[in-house]
Parts: sequence; C-alpha cells; structure tokens
Amino acid sequence: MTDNHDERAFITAVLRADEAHLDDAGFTDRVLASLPRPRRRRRFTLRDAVIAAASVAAATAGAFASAHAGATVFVSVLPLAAIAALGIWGALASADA
Amino acid sequence: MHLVMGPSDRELVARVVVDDDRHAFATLVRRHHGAVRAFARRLDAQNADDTAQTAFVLAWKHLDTWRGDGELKSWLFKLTYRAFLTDARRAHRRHETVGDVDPGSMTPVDVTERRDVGRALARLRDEERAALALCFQEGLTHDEAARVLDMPLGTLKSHVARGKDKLRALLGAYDPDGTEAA
Repeated sequence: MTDNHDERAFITAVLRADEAHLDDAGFTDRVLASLPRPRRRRRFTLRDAVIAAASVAAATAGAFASAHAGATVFVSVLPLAAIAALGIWGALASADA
Repeated sequence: MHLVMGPSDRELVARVVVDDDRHAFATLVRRHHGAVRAFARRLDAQNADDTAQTAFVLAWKHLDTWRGDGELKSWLFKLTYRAFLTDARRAHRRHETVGDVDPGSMTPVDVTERRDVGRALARLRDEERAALALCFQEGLTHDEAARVLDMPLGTLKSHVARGKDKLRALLGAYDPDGTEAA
C-alpha cells in the first residue's frame, strides 16, 4: 500500500465512495431564475433610420436657411439656428442609439 | 471516454455570448452541474449548491472571457473555487478551520459510514481538499488543477501530498471497497 499506484487508487476510491449522484432536482431552474436580466442590445431599426434621415434633412435645411438669411436679421436667424441644432442633436442621438 | 450529445460546449458558449441564449446556457448547466456541485460539496458540503449556483451566475456574466483553450468544466471549477473563497472570507469560516496539523498526530476518525469520510475530508485545509478533489475525483492533471486553483504547480503538488498524508492518517483502517472486512 505504499507505492504510488496503490496510494492513488486508495484516495480515488475514498473520494468516489463518498460521492453521491446529484440529480438536477430543480438546480438548473434555480440558476436560470437567478441570472441577471438579458443585456439590452439596441439595433439600428427602420424607425431610427427615418429619424436620422429627417434630422439630417432638418439640419441641412437649417444650415441653408441660415446662410441665405445672411445672419443679418437676428430674429430670423435664431429660430433657424435652433432648427439646425435640433437636427444635429437628433442625428447624433439616433446614431448613438 | 466522455461523449457529449448535442452541440459542443464551444457552440453553446457562442450562442450565449452572441444571442444571450438562455436555452443554450441551460444546456451547459445541465451538462456540468453534477461535476461542479460535487466539487463544491468537497469544498463546503453545507453551502455547496449556493456556491455552485454563484459559479454558474459568474459564468453567465463572464462567459465572453472564456478563451476556449481548455475544457469549460475546468473554467467552471475555477469559478466555483473563487465563489467558495469569497463566501469563506465573508463568513470568516477560514478562521474556524483546523490549522496545519502534523499527519502523524491525527487521531483516526470512525469511518464506518460515508459521512465519516466527509468528516475526515473536512479536517483537511481548503486548499488540500480542493487539490485532492480535482486530481483524484475529477481526474485533472496537476497542471490543470494548479491553473484552476490559481497556484504554482509546486504549491499544488505540496497540497496534494500533504492532503494524501493526512487523509491516510485519518482513514487508516478504512477500506473504501469493503473488501478487507469480508
């Protein structure tokens, strides 16, 4: 009982003799129930594409309008700049989503 | 030889990582829960299922970091051992375990029943129990076991040798096959 083979056989037998067969018994279900919620993965949908296109169009129109107005009349430039800014913001937001 | 029916571990892992596929993960859990829970029982019989459950939740969260260069089961053992250590540290259980004892001074336990084998194993240090379980029960090589337990190969071998000595001292008269009593 002193050589390595017998030693190994002894320890293996001891550990396996004490080993009980483990039925699932709901274990898998408990694991699944304790998993965190699925990671949300946003995909670029058609809706996002429409919003992005509309936003880019608004930004372009705003930029042209601003250029045409020549920035001479502050009152007319301000809303156009706001439209352009909103358009850019919308485009960036859609692209980021 | 261990035959796996259905998709391989690698295929299932890919489905989980790419699609968050819970059915694929459930298949992995069903495939490996026996070995993982058996290992967890060796580490801490009382909290084995909680430890194993924590290990599988960790696996779900970090499955994308499994490199696939070894068996998934070994990686799950690693997570199980980490979960055990975290719980043990939290509960300060390690302070309650028996310190390093000379195998020659150990009094043999009464090993007439299975639970007594468990009691003998419980008298080993955590690292020794883990090393013996991986090398003798799960059949890992010393290299694989050292990687699972995140320790140098020499340290692993020391734990195995010391654990064997202690176990033999504790179970001196025990005949696991029941042949000597006949």
